Amino acid sequence: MSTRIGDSHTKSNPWAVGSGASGEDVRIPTERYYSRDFFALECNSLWNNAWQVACRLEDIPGVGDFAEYAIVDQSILIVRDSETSIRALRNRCSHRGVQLANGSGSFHGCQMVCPFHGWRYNLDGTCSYVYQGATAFAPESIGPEELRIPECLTATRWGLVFVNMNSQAPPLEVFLDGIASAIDPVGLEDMRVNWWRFTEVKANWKVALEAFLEGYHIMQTHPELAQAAGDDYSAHLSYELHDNGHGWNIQDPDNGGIDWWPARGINYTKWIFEQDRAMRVGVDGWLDEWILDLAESFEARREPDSVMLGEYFQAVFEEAGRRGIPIRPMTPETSPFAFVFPNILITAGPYGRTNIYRFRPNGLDPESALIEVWAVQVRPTGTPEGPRPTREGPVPQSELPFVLAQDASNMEAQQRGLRTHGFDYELLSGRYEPMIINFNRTLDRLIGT
Amino acid sequence: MSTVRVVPGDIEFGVHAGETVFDAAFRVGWIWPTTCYGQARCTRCHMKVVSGAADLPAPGPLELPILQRLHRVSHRNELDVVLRLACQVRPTRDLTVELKRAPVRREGDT
Repeated sequence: MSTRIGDSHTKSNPWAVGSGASGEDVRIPTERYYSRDFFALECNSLWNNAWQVACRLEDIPGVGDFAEYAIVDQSILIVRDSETSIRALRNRCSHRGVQLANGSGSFHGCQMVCPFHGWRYNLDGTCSYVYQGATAFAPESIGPEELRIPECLTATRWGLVFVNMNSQAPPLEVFLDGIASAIDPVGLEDMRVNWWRFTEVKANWKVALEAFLEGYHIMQTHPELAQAAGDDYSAHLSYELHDNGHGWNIQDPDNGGIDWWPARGINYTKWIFEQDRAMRVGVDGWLDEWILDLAESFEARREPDSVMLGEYFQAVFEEAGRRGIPIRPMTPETSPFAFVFPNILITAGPYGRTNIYRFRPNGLDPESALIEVWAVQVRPTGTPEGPRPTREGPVPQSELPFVLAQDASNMEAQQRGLRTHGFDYELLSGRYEPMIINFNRTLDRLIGT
Repeated sequence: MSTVRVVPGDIEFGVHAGETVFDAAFRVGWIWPTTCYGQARCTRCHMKVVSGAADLPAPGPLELPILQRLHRVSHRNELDVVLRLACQVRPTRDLTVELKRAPVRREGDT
């Protein structure tokens, strides 16, 4: 393509999500997952306009600390320019465009210096020095406004720094309408990073994301989570969906509510314990060893399910208190499975630990994606702040925690399969895969027709 | 807190635990010679350690190749010369260092 992504001339969207199927099911054009033109539409309509998570506050604790956020072909430096403020600066020198920094690190002496000719900028993006400026350039060429580094919008919530490249975008609070109240009770801002890894997959970023937006795949992809249940495993989760793309699973009274049952003949409490054990290894997080010990003492008791599980959660909560770990009350509200449009997934367990997932295109390639995971946890009260978290990767998919490796294992096969001649549409279940449908419809609304 | 003494100029200032010599100098109003401002790139902050060298933490992967290059270029690999980058060194004991050019006061500071 000769045009720059942001200037694509493609205005129409012939790949909109259709119905074309019965009931609430929908057919999604497969070209959305590999067409360069559709990718360009996403860049113009989505990435250039959406609020997106750039980094964590933990990444930039001190004045001068920075973290780079790269999306498609754009790079933004998130800089703490004072104790109380953060800037999102376009990562380029005003002279000849060289990027000022990469990865993460610290600017010292409150100066960002271009490595090419030594031009300097203050942390607020104003230019502080042009090498031999008086003789090299006409004064009007290097006026303060000409040289200032352009900024993106920033906002913080849940210990995360969000950015938006559209200076006219509505505030983050408006963007998060509907989903904020689902995530607030988790207390993400109290959590700190245990580990932070990313992997690359040869698949469209939506293929990677959508693998996490439904529970219909658990039976076949994650046998350790479905446990003894066979294909009678209940895949029906209830979701609350919003017009702006967000969604989360809710305890639906019509669907059994909190008593949702995985499969007939399985003891619910034992099923929870077994799933916790699988999740602890499978996502390398979820709960601590001492909670497993506690669970096993309950497992040895032979009492009715409903009584035992309530007592168990109460016992965990109290023991956490004794250990000085201020976890939130253990209710369905504090442990949602929530999707923040366009690319963040928050899987909060009830035990004060959460995994945060971020999905992105890997540069300009529609068929390559980055999957990133922050495993975060509430620390005991009084724990001093640790060093800045370090990002590991790309981690080979086989070295991811096994549940994530199982998810990743389908993605490249799906990407290749989506290209099959004559396979123009994939079929989505309105009942079991509504979050994916809602996500794609929101994307279409942004793109327009 | 350790103390860094700089010759020429007879400048002295304290360095907090975990702080680099460069950051400490900046904090108390000196601009240490630099053009990259602490990115271990321009080499201009490098100093010859006159005393206290033995107590310094060993150079890391960012600093080491630069020191080796400086050594080859300017000191013909003389073994008794200890060079370090002020923007990377976090001293734990007192230090005396020699610079080719003295630090200057930061604008607005007295």
